[in-house]
Amino acid sequence: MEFLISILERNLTPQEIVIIQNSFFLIVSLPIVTTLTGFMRHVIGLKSLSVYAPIVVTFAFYQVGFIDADADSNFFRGLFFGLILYVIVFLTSSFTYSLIKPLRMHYIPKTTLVMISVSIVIIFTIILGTLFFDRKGLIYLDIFPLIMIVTLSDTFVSTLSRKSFEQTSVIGLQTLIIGILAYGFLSLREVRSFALEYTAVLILILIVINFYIGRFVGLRLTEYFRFSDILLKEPDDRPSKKNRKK
Amino acid sequence: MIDLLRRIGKNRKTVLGLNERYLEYIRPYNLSPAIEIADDKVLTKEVLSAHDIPVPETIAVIRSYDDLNHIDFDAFPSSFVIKPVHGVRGGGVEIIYNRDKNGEWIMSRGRRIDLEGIKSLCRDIIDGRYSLHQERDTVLVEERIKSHKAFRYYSYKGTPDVRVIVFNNIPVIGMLRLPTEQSDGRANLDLGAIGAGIDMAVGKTTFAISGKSGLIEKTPKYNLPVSGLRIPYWTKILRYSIEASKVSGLGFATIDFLIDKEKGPMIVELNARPGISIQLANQVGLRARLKKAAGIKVKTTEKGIRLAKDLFGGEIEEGIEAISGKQVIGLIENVKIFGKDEKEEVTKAKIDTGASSTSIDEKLAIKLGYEDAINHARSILGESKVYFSRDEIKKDANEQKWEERLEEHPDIVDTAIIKQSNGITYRITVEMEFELSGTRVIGLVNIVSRSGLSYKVLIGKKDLKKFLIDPSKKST
Repeated sequence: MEFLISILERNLTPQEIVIIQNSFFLIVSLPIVTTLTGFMRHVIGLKSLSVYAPIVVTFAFYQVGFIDADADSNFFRGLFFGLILYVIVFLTSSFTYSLIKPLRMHYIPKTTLVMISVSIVIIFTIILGTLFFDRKGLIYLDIFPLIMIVTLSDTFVSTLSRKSFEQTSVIGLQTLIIGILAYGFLSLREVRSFALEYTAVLILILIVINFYIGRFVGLRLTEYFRFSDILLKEPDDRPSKKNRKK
Repeated sequence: MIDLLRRIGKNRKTVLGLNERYLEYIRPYNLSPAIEIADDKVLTKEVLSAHDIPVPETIAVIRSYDDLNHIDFDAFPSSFVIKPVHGVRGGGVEIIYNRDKNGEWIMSRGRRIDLEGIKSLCRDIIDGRYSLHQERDTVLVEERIKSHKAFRYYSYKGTPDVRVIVFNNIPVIGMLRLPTEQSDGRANLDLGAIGAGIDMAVGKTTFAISGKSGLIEKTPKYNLPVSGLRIPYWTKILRYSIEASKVSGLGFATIDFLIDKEKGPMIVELNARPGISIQLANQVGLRARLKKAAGIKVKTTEKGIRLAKDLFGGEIEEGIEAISGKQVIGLIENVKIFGKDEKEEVTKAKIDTGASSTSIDEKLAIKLGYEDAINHARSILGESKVYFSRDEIKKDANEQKWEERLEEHPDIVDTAIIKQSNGITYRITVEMEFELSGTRVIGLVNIVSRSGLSYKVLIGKKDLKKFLIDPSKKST
């Protein structure tokens, strides 16, 4: 990556280089998040609402936290505001959807109604939060991550239309866990500098990992719990017919 | 801990997980033309009935509002089922049980619905209210399957369904799903229905899980044992499931049946993505079974049925043995008695379920090293006397403090008042270990003179808990 940036170096100011480094880092981070999502799904057994949802959570958290260059406080600010926004969007979407679910309506207008309710609640959250709490935090929220989180309501609605509220909550929580893990991982300075310095190596590693996960046929961690009854049986307590005849 | 890990290490190779299900079974064995058949209920029925596999009779297929206007609901039978072709989680399914004098139809919970109401239900389905992402759907009107009487006391409201997973033309595992009050008459496990595993040899249920509470032994309403329920038409079910898998082209599929009380089993659904909870209902891993079934050449349906029964049956008898761990014995058995100071005696014993405790002859007890205890008892009780009533014996025992004095002896652990053919006697009880048909029992044995009787030992109920008695069995 350094090499690619160095091609541009002649034309850019140091400030612009920082900006472009950040953009490049975020772009190569996308497959890192989806690799983690795949790992969590196939090896651990945590579901996510979609491939897109953990990416949204990760980058929204990342951007929400990114106010100044002080990276250590950024992580917790991102976690704090990101969590609040995520929970608000989820609860508002579920509530509004439960109200309009019985209506006979087309899917997109229905989702739009949900999104309107989410937008209103978010606006009020920003107003109230700024009046009563940390002034700096909510006003400085970048509009882009905000929009990303609001669009999650589409993902929530599509899951709610297929599954119950409880099931959606569980999957929503799992998505959040995956997103936060990815967010924490990408917030490490070592990861950032590695990704920028050895981009090609990183991409190669990701390809190898994905080929491995893609062909993984073992039990998922959650399945060890789900089938514990069978797994903990004495292997010989049911002799096959052949053995019994002996 | 190490033992647990060893078990998990061995057993995990028997369980099928979602990763392997998709990569090793669904992808290679279910190609998209076959999946298309399974995903469309109307198409499924066309394919199956073209090959004479029974399916519920289609009354009408309504694809549009225009279709709806041309359908004469009055010509329908009085009882039928309305369902969306691409419904999600059983939504939109309505069962019409009958029609009353006013021409209104009767639905579940006694609700009434008129013609306009039924049309409105159909319009909801066509508009996609119950389908994924509200996409337009088709209404399927079918005959109602009347639940077979075998299930009458086992299921709540709805009709139980039987599902069989077929792989390589061999039915490998099965499950009976019983609707419950919790699941509101639906057969979905995640709504709280019961799933019972099936012994493939005989079609009897083995273990059962309740969707939300793990393994269960009794049904919630009538408290009936969930294991041992015989599924009617089992062999037919195996045959149709193999045939359905063949004609649809699904190499690895779930076949769902309803069993009509008159017409027998009918296929209601094919599924190209078999669920893996069925392993819990059977308490057995599916992977091991799939590995067994793979690679066998199954040329005929008959062979598939035979293989299913031979390879995947026998769970029930093994289940009972494993649970009860009981030995089967006859009425007369050789018994080996372990006395004091490593003395042993072998003799024939009478198995007597009419007696509550075990008795042994005085002379035999002396041989086993209880002479001292017997002499001690004689010094207190005198020559054993036969009484005619319990009160009399209790009176003597209390007055002379028999029990306290007898139990001063280390071998005598208790005393007993025993009724015998000629009256009632007071006896001493000692602890003795004996072996019957290879099983060891530590019993409290009372000592009495059995000199005139043919068996020196009589084993009573208290010491027979580990055995099942078969009167026709001869001792060896």
